[in-house]
Amino acid sequence: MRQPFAIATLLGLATPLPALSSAPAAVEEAESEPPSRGEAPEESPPEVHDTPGVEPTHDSKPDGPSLVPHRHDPDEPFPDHADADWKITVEGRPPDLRAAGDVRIDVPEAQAVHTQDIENTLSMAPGLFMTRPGGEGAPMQIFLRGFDARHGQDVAFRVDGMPVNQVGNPHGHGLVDLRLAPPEALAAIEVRPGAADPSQGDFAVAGSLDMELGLSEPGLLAGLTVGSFNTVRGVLGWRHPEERGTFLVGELYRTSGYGQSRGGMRGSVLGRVERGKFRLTGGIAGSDFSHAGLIRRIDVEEDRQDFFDTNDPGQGMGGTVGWAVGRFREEIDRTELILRASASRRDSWVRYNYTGFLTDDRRPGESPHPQRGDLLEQRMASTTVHLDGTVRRDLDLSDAVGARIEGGIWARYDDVDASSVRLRAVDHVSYRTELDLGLRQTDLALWAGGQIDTGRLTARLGGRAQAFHYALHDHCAALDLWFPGAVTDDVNCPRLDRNGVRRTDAFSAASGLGLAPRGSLSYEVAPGHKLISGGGRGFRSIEATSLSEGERAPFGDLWTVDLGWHGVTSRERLFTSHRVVGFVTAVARDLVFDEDLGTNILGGPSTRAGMTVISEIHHGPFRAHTSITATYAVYGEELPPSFSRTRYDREPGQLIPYVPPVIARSDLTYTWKLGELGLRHGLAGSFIGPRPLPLSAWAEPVFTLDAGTELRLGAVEVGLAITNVLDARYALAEYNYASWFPQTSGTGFPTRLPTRQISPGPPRAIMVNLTLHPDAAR
Amino acid sequence: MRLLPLLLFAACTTATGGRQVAISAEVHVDAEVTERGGEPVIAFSPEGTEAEIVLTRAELAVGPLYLWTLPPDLDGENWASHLGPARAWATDQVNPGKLVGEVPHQVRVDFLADPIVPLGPGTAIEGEARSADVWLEPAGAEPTLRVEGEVHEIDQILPFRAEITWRTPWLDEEGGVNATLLRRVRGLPTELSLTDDQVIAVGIDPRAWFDLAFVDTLPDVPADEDARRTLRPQDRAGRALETRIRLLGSQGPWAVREAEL
Repeated sequence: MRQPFAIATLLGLATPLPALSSAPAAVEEAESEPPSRGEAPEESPPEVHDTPGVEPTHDSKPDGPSLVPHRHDPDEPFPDHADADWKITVEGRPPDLRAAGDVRIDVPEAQAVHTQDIENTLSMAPGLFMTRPGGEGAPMQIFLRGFDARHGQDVAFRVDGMPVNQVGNPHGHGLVDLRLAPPEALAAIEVRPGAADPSQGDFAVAGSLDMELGLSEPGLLAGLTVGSFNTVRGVLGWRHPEERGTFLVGELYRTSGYGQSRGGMRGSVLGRVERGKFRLTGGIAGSDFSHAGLIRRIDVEEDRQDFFDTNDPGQGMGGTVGWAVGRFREEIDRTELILRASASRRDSWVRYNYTGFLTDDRRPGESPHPQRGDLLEQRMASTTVHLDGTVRRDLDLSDAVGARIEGGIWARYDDVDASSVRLRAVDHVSYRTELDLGLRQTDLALWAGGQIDTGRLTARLGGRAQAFHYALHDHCAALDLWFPGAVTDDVNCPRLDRNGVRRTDAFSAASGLGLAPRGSLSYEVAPGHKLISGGGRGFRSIEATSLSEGERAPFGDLWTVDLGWHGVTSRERLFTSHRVVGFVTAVARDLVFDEDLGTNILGGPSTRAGMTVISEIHHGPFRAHTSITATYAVYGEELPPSFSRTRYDREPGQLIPYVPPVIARSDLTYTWKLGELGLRHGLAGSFIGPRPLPLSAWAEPVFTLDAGTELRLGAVEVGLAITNVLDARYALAEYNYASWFPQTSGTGFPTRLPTRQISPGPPRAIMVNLTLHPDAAR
Repeated sequence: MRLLPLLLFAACTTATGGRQVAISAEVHVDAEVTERGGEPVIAFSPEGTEAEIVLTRAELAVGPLYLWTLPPDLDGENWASHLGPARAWATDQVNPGKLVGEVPHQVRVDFLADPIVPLGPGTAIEGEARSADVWLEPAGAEPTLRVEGEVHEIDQILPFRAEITWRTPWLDEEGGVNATLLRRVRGLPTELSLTDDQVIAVGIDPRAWFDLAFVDTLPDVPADEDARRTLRPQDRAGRALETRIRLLGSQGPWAVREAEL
């Protein structure tokens, strides 16, 4: 029983329907310990079902095969799945996928090269591209399925079930900062592109990404990494030898960074206790980084600036967060109940200077002054609480037909204080308020769905009712208010208008309700080959600054549909899984980043169409995981009234700038043993095709190669990771907008037309890691 | 590699809209330079007077140049009375449209020496421009304008000189006049089709700097020890000169056009 079930898991069949009752068996099987990262495979049975101590963070665990199956003994041939797994485990039914693009990545297994933070591991997700424009201290920018999701606005992120998109962040609604935990604590990533699942809520526009925490080995863990740019990282952890869900881990990290103004430090501590039906996870993290921002390419080409310089050393990012998430899970007969609640408190700040010295021309009512500098400081303090619950019940309609009904509740409340001020370049004193508001946002949802499974055909249909409530306290309601007789220099948040004395604040509220049908259809056309189609309507709450009083539909919505083929073969020592997924997404109210304002603004409707190819090949000790995504993303014909006149990056019917039309990623690993020595080698390649820029320009393509190797002898593990092996000099991000930095722009007069802005990619970095697993020796 | 998206989506657009082109600009002296006593001069009589003005020195720091999509909507009125941020668009009462061209350099033009002076390279967005701004911001320690000459009347010759830098005291900041915009000539009408490698001419006719009011009020300016009159902000003649240098329309000294190659 053990081995066939393992293979079933390997093929993504571990959560068969309608037999929820098989779940306890899966849990029981999961008691076997997996080899840890870098450890040579042993003769023990392969891992099954789940990464130890963790479970899917969303309520409908993807039924599809994981992108990376758990470790399998390379010396043992894979049985033919058509004869073994389906027949034994799920009575001959093929894998179930809610959407063809759903993917689960077990990070310790799949990651070819060890990274220094969690966020860099996200690039393993098919079709996802992550950059940090300005260096390690900048907020990550995410591209997925044709969406420039900026800092997270279009991807719903959850960590251990806790939503982490920051509502109302002045730098970008939905901003995600994943420096909550060290990379060792990241067990798995689940990517669900699109919105076919009724459990997907706010921010699931391009899709959702759930991250599961957990340590892969029981006992003590002590690691030290040193390497390029004075980088030092220490990690200390412990996992309960028997209660796999119980662990604690912490890290401290410091780096000087490459080039100018890229140094910083971070730290995080988290722990989890799991007892029976209850689980409680919590942690505290802090970070403080400088970042270089963007530089103008022409300044580098004309030797006015070095490739790794900065135009403004005042830029940076930091913050602190404390968080906790609890879970209750119970199964009664054939009904499963999951309840989750989380709370987090966050203070964060971002300093960015996109435009240099352009935006501070004298405004009406201001005394004469020179340009004081555009450095923008955006601060946020927020408290978030969330509660969600899911109930599932399996039904047997007949011997041949199974069914499941499910439903859930979702509630999230955010209390946010956000501000955005300009700082004088000379002394970093704030001289102007751009934004000062308090936001209370409530996100409530009910969702329900049903599923019928006839063996070859699986149909799911469901829906989500989503309500958003906003209460906005704007403390600077009149940003620039001048009239004849106005008090000189009291025009920014003034206390006087043409009708007399006034308060500087204003209040507005809005609520809206949206209904979203969602569904999917899966049909097994031949053993191991399925056609899967899914789609539905999704929602995203809106930026508080774009809220209108009494607005009845205060959210952005989208429709998405995809169609894919998934084929799995397994024979001898070879296992392959291939997918081809086509998708179309139409967004009603897209968002575009405004470099002048340093935040998102409404950009009108948009449409994306594309295709993702995901390939997974295992042959003995060799594993290859490759994905290629091609996307065509265009704006619709309608424009917000003020848009066409004021910007160059938004033209009706034209390509959406910055979205990479082609993203490819490949992770290759080879694991073997030399006597008692376990070795693991990895190679990861990323290719980002030319990206369209405003004014019909194209960014240069990017190809990077990372390599790593790990040796494990008993309790001692030594690793070497080299990123950007070829030491390629490339622009990780390229933009086309106006900026003027008098010291470096080659002219004493403002350059106000778009020019190429680049964020240099990191040069080659070498990191050496020593990790001790003292308990493994015993 | 750029062909890849083309191959994938042959029937789809491959542009984001608009195209950036390289342009350049030069300053043209729209006045004839003659010789008197072996020295180059510009000699002329302002409209409405028999007096002749002979310029023996005329220098002006010109630039940068910005081009906009919409024509001036204040016919003949100087936009300097309105405010506008230095962004690529304007949010004031006057709407010049979208910025579509810039030559962000300044050059010091000696009107008696070179009929054409390169302003420098710039960039533009392919398409049409219908108005232009020329800034007269002081770039350094030197005065923005230096002019010397004589007014020849029937019974007298009045030598004069002026040095103007558009900063205090030439700017009446206490009176609320916008210091930034007085350094700019905004809303110059033009009709340009911006294409790659286009050369734009900023024509300046220094004869239009002077008018009858200047001639009539120059005698009121006290003479220096060398008998030359130095124009000051408080002199009507000085104000007349300072205002006319930024005058728009056919009466003004400015013309922005395609350079004849």
